[in-house]
Amino acid sequence: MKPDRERDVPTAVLGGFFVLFGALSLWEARRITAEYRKPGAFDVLGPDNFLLGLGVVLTLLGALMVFPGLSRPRSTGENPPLLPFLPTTMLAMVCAYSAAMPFAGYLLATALFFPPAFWLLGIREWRRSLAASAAALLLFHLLFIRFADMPLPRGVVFAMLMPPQSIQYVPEFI
Amino acid sequence: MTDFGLLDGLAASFSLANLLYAILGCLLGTLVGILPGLGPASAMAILLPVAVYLPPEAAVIILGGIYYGAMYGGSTTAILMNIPGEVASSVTTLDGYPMCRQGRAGQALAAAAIGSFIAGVAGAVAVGWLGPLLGEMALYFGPAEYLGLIVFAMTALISFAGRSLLLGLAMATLGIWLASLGTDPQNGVPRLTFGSMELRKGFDIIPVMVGIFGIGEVLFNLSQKMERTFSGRLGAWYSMLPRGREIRATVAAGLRGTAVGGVLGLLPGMVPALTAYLAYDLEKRVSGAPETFGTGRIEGVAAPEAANNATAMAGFVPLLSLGIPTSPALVIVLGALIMNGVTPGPTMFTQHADIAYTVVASMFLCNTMLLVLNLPLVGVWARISVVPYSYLAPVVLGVCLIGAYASRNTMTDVAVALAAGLFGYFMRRLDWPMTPLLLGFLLGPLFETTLRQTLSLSGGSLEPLYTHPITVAFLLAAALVLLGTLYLRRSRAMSQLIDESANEA
Repeated sequence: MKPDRERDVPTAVLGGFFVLFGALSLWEARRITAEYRKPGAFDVLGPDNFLLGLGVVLTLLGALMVFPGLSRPRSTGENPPLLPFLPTTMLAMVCAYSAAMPFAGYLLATALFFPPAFWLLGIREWRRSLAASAAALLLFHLLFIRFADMPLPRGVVFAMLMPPQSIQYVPEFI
Repeated sequence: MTDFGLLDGLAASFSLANLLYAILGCLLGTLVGILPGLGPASAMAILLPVAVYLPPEAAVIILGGIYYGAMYGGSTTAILMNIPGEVASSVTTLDGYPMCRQGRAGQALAAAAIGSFIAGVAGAVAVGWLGPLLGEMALYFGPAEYLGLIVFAMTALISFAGRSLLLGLAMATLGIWLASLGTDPQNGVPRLTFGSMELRKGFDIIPVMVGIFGIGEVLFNLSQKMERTFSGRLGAWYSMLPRGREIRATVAAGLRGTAVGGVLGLLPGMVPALTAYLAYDLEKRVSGAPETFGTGRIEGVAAPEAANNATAMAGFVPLLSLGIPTSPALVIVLGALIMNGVTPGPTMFTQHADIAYTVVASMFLCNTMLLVLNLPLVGVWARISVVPYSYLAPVVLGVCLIGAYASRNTMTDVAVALAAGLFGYFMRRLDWPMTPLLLGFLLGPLFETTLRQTLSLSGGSLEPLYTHPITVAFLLAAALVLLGTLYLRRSRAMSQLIDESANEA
């Protein structure tokens, strides 16, 4: 390897996953063949052999990514972490937002997501954060409800508050 | 529908609804091009869940407007701040920013707009003329010919996708693999579902797109430091228009750039950044004074901007007439059409002539709007471009999540979007190419179908691949593109542009 280049370890790890996916495909292809392949059931290739071919290619390519592997320019100076604090925390918040959506409903979950998200990204003044959150909520309402008429989750809480016979009176904004 | 022609398309595109969609798309696109951290493919992916609720031509008009608008918007920051909004505008900085520093920012912006307009109009004419021709030829395509075309398209895209062919091929294979998960469309056999009813539905394109291009992009941008400043002064918009020798030079360079970008843009994987560079190189050669480029030559702005817009427009020819997208943004347009029940291909200009010609006519419309609206608004765009990313990021994330849910009303899609987002982040962070993955995902089912049909018709033999002339031509073309890319990469500048464009979203 040239002195100004180093082994690309993350890509080698990705290659390992490819080998795993390839092995999974080979196993699944065998299962489909055993379970479903009968005379006249499939075309010449069939879904099992196509998957088998994919599995072989994935395994081979993955193995080449691990060994001999790829190289990349040698890093000079600071090497930032692969998952820095800001994107990791934001991802965690987004996961919490999506987990909350079926229970709290899209409106409440979104209203609870924005202020801490803006705060995390440096908007520390609460008035500015609230104003930005309100503007964002309005944008979402206009875009998803008014413009696109999307059926978004109402949430368990809201559904419990509304008795079944009054379902036709569900407010239009949800 | 065969009676529907370009004039009918013009009339349809001038309907109030389509006019509004075109304005909205152009404004959004320019905004996207100007704002940090959001590229045209990201914006289109984020709006895809909304666009599928629109009629198909409206969806393509709005997504197309975003695409062309982003090309224009990217040149604004390239000229005013020496920061290209898109990789395609990186060549524009070479002469655009020096012009700005000389107090000629207005003329540079106008040259970019005029160059883009020339390319846009020429591109629309080319799509309207070449599209039906190519579609008629494609009526003679059988499964083997389509297989050859897909292999050519994927080879070209892999070749232009980043630093390593091995990695590009691996990503394309992964994309095909992800697309095969679910229920086999031909036999109904569950594959890689492990007994899960949710996985039987397979992965939908919207969560994958919004995840990779939306969530992944935001996470990546949060890990970077983005600073933008503009301290220049812009006069009234009419003072920006070039005059005399400058307008002649602008138009001539625009025409040359259009020719370069338009011809090369028909190739899958030919990125706008590369055609912009080649057009700039051509200008230097024909000018007779190459040493003056980089000091503020107006041709150095008009030509690359024309080339990158022409490439964007030319991509619609194979997209509409063959159903083959040539870039990530067009992958999204293809997704929007498919989700609206319109499958682009040889019959697009006959069975869906109303949609096809309305889209072509809207290209005229959008490019005219971009020229007319954006020059007077350039001061506004310059101010908007310094909006902090802290306001934008949570909104984009929220839109992505809701968009992922809304496609099939299932939280599984949200989980897929989040997983795709994390993978998209790693792809940006570690320079793993995204385009082959997405193209493999989108074209994978077609690749499988044509391969299986070809083998069924030939009784299991690969003979059609070397006896059908059109198939052989496509496979040879794939080999040529591969060799051509290896040759182009000998130039460090081109190699860098190819690498940077590979993951531009």
